[in-house]
Amino acid sequence: MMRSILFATGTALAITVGATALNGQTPSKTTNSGVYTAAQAERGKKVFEAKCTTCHDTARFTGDPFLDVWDGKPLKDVWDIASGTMPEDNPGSLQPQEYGDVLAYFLHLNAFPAGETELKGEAAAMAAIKIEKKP
Amino acid sequence: MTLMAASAIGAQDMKSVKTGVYTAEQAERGVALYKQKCASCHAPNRFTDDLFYTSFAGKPLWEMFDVISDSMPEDDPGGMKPEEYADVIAYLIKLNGFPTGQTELPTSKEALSIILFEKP
Repeated sequence: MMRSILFATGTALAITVGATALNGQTPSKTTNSGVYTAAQAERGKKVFEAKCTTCHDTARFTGDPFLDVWDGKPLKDVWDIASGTMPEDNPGSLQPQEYGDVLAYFLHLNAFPAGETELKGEAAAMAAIKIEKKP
Repeated sequence: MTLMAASAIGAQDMKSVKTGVYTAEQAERGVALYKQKCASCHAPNRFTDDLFYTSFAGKPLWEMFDVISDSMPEDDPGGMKPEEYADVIAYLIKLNGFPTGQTELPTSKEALSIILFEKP
């Protein structure tokens, strides 16, 4: 009895610690650090035009309408919504890297600088980048 | 014991979409608006799927009203009248097979906060 309680407590603790380590990941870079490539944003533009423009205008993801909502938040927040709910008629159906490319295109639309390394289409990479409106 | 009493009062105040919280006429207006303002992007089955229930089942209707009236239509967020958003939501409730009633779905936060949306 005691043993199973100890075991359960230990497991719960391990899960809690694990979750904290994940959730507590502090973004180490910002969108001003050059976190995507120009070529990637070009690919993202093509995906956006093929999959998103039926419903979404680029204005919706550019400047204040976009940055006022997301400034200071990890890029993963945008990633979660895009990859979890879009496209509307088939949520989650794009390749992970296609979502990453579309997000790179959004960064390009907002004049964040391109860099040498592509933005990886995965949650952990997105969590490490903070959206930061230029001063 | 105190806790039980408190939650009993809470439960008493809440009502469910199962109890007839919109009118047939309202849902008719809602479907007309839906066709005009929503159907270009949203198929009706998007409001009877698991993603929809994950977002809104077990929560007060105010949450649905708040999200939709804040973010839709995509090209003019918040551009409809509160009554129009309520009409569209009445249609979404109808899509989920919940019964009509004698009173229209309201628009106020207070009133919508005590109506629970459920997975049918």
